[in-house]
Amino acid sequence: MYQGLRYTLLLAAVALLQSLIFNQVQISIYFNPLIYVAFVLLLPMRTKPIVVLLCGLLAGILMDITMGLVGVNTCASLLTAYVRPLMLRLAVGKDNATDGGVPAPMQVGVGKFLAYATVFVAVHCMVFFALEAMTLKYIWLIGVKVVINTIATVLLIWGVASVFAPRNYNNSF
Amino acid sequence: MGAIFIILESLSLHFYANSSAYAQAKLLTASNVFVGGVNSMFASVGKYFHLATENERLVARVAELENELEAYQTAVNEYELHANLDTINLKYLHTPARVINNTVSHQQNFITVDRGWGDGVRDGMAVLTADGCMFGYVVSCAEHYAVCMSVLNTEFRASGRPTHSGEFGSISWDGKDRHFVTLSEIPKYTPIEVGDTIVSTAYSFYFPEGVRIGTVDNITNSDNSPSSTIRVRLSADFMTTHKVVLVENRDAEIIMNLEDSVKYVK
Repeated sequence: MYQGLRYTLLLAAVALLQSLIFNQVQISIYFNPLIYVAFVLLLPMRTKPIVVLLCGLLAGILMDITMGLVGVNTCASLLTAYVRPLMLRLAVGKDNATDGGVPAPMQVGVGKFLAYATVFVAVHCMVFFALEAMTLKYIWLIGVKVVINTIATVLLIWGVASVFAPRNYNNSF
Repeated sequence: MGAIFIILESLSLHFYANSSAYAQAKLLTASNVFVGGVNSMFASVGKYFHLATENERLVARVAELENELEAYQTAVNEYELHANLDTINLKYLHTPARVINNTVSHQQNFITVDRGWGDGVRDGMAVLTADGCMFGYVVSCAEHYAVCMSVLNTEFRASGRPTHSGEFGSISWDGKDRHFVTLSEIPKYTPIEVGDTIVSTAYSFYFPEGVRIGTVDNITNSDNSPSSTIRVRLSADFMTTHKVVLVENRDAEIIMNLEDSVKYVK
């Protein structure tokens, strides 16, 4: 119950940060970090795959509505939610991945967290920017956007994770 | 699990594949019912950082219009002007509005303004900056908000021509740089130079004739094509504009109905 409330607040916080700050900051056409992916990325490692998928669906639909992008966020979120268990096993290790807890730097270590978050965010950004562009004509432009926003998003999520899951925080969904 | 993922992903891809810029605008209009108030509050804070620039533009525009008015007053017999003022049927109606949300970092960018159908705003109205530059046009309205397609939207199309020539071409944005649009299909023989001003033509439902789009930055000619491709530096600053003017072409519906009736006869 308490865990559900925490994640509801996390979703509300990252959705508000995304729509009120990061969607409004128009520094460059290359800069568009997608901080809302923190919601699915930071779900406890023991969370059932179907729950992760439904959380991805929820986050995707919510962001599609606020960004006015029909299906783009949902497609990207569903894919990353579906392959998340595989990414966790590869980046964090099978034992740690099934041990529960939040996949945050303080719990799994900075190196493993960065490996997991980078792959997760890069896959999400690839799908998001490819679908958003609606064409592969400017594939180099999509590539530059993926690289810049993967780095920016991972750094931002690191900050969110440090606040959301401080040292020794451990729980399951 | 895999089957559920495939069904959900297929559904979202189906909605994505069947969406258009108009569907996106409708979605944004619906979300503005909930987030419009919050965006409006943030826009109010943000606009203070650009007040000086915006005021300079407005003062320059006011001076320009004062000069124009002075010219009319001098040229037209004062008695005739006042006698006919009430009977003049204005073709374009102007409504000021405030930008409460505006993106430039996507391929399909939209602008949300704080005027909707309750304030007389209709789909298809032109959106100009306070100093009269092309900014976009309205694609969807709620009661007190309207979503407009920005010039910085890869689906945006308008016609443009150099001020000194009748030859016109198509204006579009390639999604790469927010400072430039492309004017294509201009015949090679058109006398045009870097620095020339590009304005809207009379063939648009949305924009009045002569609305400033930008200046010629680069001209590319190809041996295989009879037309030139011109890179146009936009006059509107999409990052700092907070006040816009919505322009309604009051004859647009009549013209559209007339053209539709001709198509029906054919």
